Amino acid sequence: MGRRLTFDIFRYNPSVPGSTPRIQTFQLEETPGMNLFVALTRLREEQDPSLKFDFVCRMALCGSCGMLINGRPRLACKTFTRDLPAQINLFPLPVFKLLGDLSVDTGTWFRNLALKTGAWLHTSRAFEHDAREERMDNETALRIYEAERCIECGCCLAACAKVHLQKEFIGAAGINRLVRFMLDPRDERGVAQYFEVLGSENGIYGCMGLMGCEDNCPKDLPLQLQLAYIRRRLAATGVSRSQTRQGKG
Amino acid sequence: MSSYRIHVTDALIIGAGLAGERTAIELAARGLEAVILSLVPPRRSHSTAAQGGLQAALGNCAQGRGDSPDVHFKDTVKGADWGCDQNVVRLFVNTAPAAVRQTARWGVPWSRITAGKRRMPDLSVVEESEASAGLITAKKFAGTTKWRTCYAAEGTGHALQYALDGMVLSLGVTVHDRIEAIALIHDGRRCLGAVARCLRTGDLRAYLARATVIATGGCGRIYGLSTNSVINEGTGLFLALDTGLACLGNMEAVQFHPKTMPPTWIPVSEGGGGYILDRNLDYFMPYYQPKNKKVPYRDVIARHMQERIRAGLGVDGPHGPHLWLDIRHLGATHIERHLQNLAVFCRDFGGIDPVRELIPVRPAQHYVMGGVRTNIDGAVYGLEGLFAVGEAACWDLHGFNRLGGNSLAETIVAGMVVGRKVAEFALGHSLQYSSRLVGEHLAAQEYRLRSLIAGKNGCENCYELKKRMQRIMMEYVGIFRTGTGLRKAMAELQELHQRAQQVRLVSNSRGANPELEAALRLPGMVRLALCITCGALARTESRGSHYREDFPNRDDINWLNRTLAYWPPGAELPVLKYEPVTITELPPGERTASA
Amino acid sequence: MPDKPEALGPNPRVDLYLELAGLVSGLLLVTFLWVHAFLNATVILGAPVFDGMARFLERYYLSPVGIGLGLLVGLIHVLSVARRIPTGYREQRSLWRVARKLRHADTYAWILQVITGLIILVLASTHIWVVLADWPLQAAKSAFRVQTNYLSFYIILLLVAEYHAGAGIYRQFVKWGWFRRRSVALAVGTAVALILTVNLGGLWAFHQLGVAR
Repeated sequence: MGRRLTFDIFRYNPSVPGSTPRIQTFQLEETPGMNLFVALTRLREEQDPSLKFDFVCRMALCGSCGMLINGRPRLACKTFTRDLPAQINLFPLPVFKLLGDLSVDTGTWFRNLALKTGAWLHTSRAFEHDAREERMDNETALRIYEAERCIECGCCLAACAKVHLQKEFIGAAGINRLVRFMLDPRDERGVAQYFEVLGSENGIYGCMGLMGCEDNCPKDLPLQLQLAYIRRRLAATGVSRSQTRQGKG
Repeated sequence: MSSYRIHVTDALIIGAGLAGERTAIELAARGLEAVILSLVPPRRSHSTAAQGGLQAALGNCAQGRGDSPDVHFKDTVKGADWGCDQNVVRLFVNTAPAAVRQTARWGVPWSRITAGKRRMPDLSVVEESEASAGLITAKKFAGTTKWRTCYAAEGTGHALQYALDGMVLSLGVTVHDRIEAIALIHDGRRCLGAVARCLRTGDLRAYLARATVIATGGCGRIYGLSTNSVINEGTGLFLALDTGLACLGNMEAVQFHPKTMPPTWIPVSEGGGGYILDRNLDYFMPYYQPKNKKVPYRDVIARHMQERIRAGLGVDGPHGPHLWLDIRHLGATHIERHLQNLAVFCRDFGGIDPVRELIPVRPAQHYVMGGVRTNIDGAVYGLEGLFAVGEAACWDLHGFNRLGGNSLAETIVAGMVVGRKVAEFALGHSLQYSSRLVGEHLAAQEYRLRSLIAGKNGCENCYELKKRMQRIMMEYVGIFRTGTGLRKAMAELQELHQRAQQVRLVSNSRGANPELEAALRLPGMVRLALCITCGALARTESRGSHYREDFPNRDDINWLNRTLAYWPPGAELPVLKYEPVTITELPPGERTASA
Repeated sequence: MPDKPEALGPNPRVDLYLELAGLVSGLLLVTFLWVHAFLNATVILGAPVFDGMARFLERYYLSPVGIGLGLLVGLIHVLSVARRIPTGYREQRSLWRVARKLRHADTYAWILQVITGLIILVLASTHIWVVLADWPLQAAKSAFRVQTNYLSFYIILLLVAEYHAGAGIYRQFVKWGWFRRRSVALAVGTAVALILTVNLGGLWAFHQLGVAR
C-alpha cells in the first residue's frame, strides 16, 4: 500500500466572472513510479474533471508542464511523488498570464520574446536546391545545440527574482536563446546588432547574478556560463565601439 | 450569428507541428497569407518529442557511402511491405536531401562529420575522410541498408521545430495557439475553412480560407498504451472523416514501438545493442544481438515481445506485464556517452539506473501509417481545397510499416511539396462562400456545445468511455489481431459510439474546460477506432504492422491494395472501399530486414 | 537593425557602463579593504611598527590620497549599485517571496549583500569620521578605541564588510567568469577566511595593546 498523498492545488478560473482564487485539497493513493503527470491526470479523470493543467509530451521535451511544486518551479512530468513529502502544494508558474488553475500562457510570452529579439537565423542568402550543404565543424554544431536545447518551459524565469522585479527583463531563457544565434556562424548579425537587443538593463545587464535560473533549470543547461559568455562578448563590443566613436567625434 | 469572430485568410493550416509549419513557410514564401491553428504553442508540438533522426540519402558519412535515393527507395518500399504508393516514395526520396539541406540553412545544428577513426560500440572501427569532414553526418537505424539517419545531437525534432518556428515568425505567419478546429466548413464539394473553439475562453469562431490543410499528427491516444503526446487524439482525422466526403486510408496500419517504459510508456531505444529478457531472464531473440548486425523491423520485434508476454512469460509489474531490456553489458561509458537520452529517460521517468538495473519494457502504440487519404499533391480525396500533410495524412509513403526516421523526413518533404500545391490551389481559386452556409456550420457546433453543457444528451462519463475504448483497442486491435477478437471489438466499439453521444459533463465550469474538450473529441475518436477495427477485420492477410493470426501471410493477389474508410453522415459503421497500390519500380518480393 | 541615433534616446551603452562601474569600483574597494587589512595587521608586530607604517604613509601623502580615492570609489560604487536595490514595498515583498518560496541560497545571499551594503554605508562612515577626527593615525589611539567602546563595532563592521566583499567578488566572477560556480565559491571563501583571520589578528593585537597599557 502506497502513501496517501494530499494535494493542495491552486484553483482559479478567470473566465468565470466573480470567481476568486482558492486552494482545493485532493487525496490520492500513491502508486509505484508515480509522477505528477500520472497523479494530476488521475485527479482530473477521477475527482475533478474541470482541473486545468498542461501536459503534452510528458517526457520533459515540450516544456508545457512547468509549475510551482512545493514552492519551486519544476516540470511536473519529471517529478516523482516519491521525492516529495506526502503533502504536495501545486501553484501555477508566476510571471506568465494565468489561464486557469495550473495552466499559464508561456506560449504567448515566448512568442513575443522571439519576435522582440529576432530569435531566428538571420541570413540573406537564398537556398540553392542542388548545392551541397555548407560545412560546419561538429564542435560548433554541438555548441549551438547546447544553447538550442532549451525547451522554454519558463522555470528559470519563475525562479529569477529580477524577472519578478522588472517585467521587461527577458531572463535566462531569452538570453540563452540569443546565445544560440551568436554562436552560429550562419547567422549574419554582428555582435553590435546583438548589443542593440541585449546590451541593456532588460537584457544581459539586468542580470544580477542570482542564479535561480541555473539552479532550477529542468534541463540542466549551463546557464551561468552562457550568460557570462554573452556578457563578455557584448561588453568588449560595447566598450570598443564607444572608443572608436569618440575617436571619430 | 453576427457575434462570432470570422477570420478570412488565404490558407488555413490546422496543426503547428513540423508538417504544418513547413507548409506554412512554403505558402508565406509565395506571398500568401497563412493562419495556423494549434492546440498548443507550436514549440510544444509532438514533433519536438521526435529524438531519433531523419532519413535522407546524403551519403556523406563512411557508412553511408554509396547511398542514393534509389537505395532509400528500396528500403522504404520493403519496410512498407509494398503497401505504399511508389510514386510518392520516389518523390519523397528524391526531395529529402534538399529538404534537409534547406533546414540547415534555417539553422538546424545538424551533427557533422569529424575526420578520423572512431570506435563503435560493437568494437568495429569507422574512419571518416578529410574530404567529407564538416558535412552532415548520419547514423544507423533499423531497416536501412546504409547509415542514412541525419540527426541534431539528441534532439532532432526539437531543433527542427525551433528552426521552422523561427522561419514562421520571420515570415509573419499568424499562429493562433490554444485553438481547436472542431468542424470543417464545406458546401458538399469544396472545403472553405473550419469552425474552431478557443481553448482559453471557450468561444466559437470561424476561419475561412481558399485552402485548408490538415496537419494534426496521429491518433495514438486511441490506444491505452501509446508513446504519443497526450494531444495526439486524431482531431484532424475525424474532422475530415466527419464530412462524409473525405476518406481515411489504411487505418488498420498501426505501428507499435517494441520498447516503452512504464508507467508513462516512454520509448527507450538503445539502437539494437541490448537484450530482451523474459521473466526467467531468458534471452529469447537469438538473432537480436549486437554482433549480428541485422536489426529486424520494428513490427517483427514488437510481435516477438508481445508473444512472450502472452505466453505468460512476462514480468508482473505494477503497471501490467512487461519484459526486461538489458543494456548493462554496454558499460557505463557507452551508456552515458552514446545513449544519453535513454539514460535520462530511465532515470527521470522510470527511476532506474540503466547502467546497473534492468529496464522494464513492453510494446506500445507508436505511429499510425494511415490518415486522411490524399493524392501525391496532398489533396484530400473527395473535397476540393482540403489538403493533408504529415502523420495526419495517408500520402502513402509508409504503407503498412514506417521506417524509423522516415516520418520526420516526411514532415519537411511533404510540407515542401504539398505546400507548393496548396499555394497553386489558393492562387488559382478565389474564396466564395455564403454567410448562410458559415452560419449553419457555426450554429450546428453551437448546438452541439450547448446540449453537452446543458447535460441533455444522457448520463455517460466521458473519461470512463474513453478508457474503455483504449482498453478495447489494446486488447483486440493491437499487435496481434484475430477475426474473433476484431468482431468483438467492433461490437463493443459500436455500442461505445452510441454511448459517446450521451455524455454528461461532471464539471460545469465555463470557458476553458478540459472535460468538455474531451467529450467533444470522444465520438470522433471512437469513429477512428472503428475505422481501424473494421479495416483490420476486413483485411484477411498480414502485412507490415497489420498482423492477423488467422491469416499470417501476406496476400498480394487479393490485398495488394489500400483501404479507404468513409463515414456517411449518420452511419453506425464506416464504409470500406479499396484502391490498388501503385507499383512502379519495385515489384512485391521477400521482405527481409536489411543489414 | 540600423544603429539608433543617440539623439533620440539615452546612450544605449549606459547600462553597460553602470555595470562596469559597479564591477571596477567593487574590485577596487575589495583591494582597498584587503590592503587596509594587511596594513592594520602590522600592529601584530608591535605598536612601533604600526606607528612607523602610519608615519611612512603620511610622509608620502599616501594616507590622504588613499582615503580620498577610497571615498570617491566608494561613492561611485554606491551610485552604480544602488539602482539594484528594490525600494518600493511591492518590490520588497515580491523579492522576499521569491527567495522564501524557492528556498534559494544565492537569492538570499544577494538580499544579505544589499543589507550588509547598507550597514557598511553607516558603519564605515562612522569609522572614517572617528579616525579622521582623531588624526594622525597611532596604534595607541586605535587601541584605546578598541579597548573602550568600539570592539563590538569593529567586529560587526569587519564581518559585514568581508561578507559583502566576498559575496560581491563571487557574484562578479559568476557573472563574468569562465569558471564554474563551485570553484569560484571555494576560492573566494578561502580568500575571505584568510583576510578575516588577518583582520581579527590585528583587532586582537590592538585589544592586547590596550590591556597591556
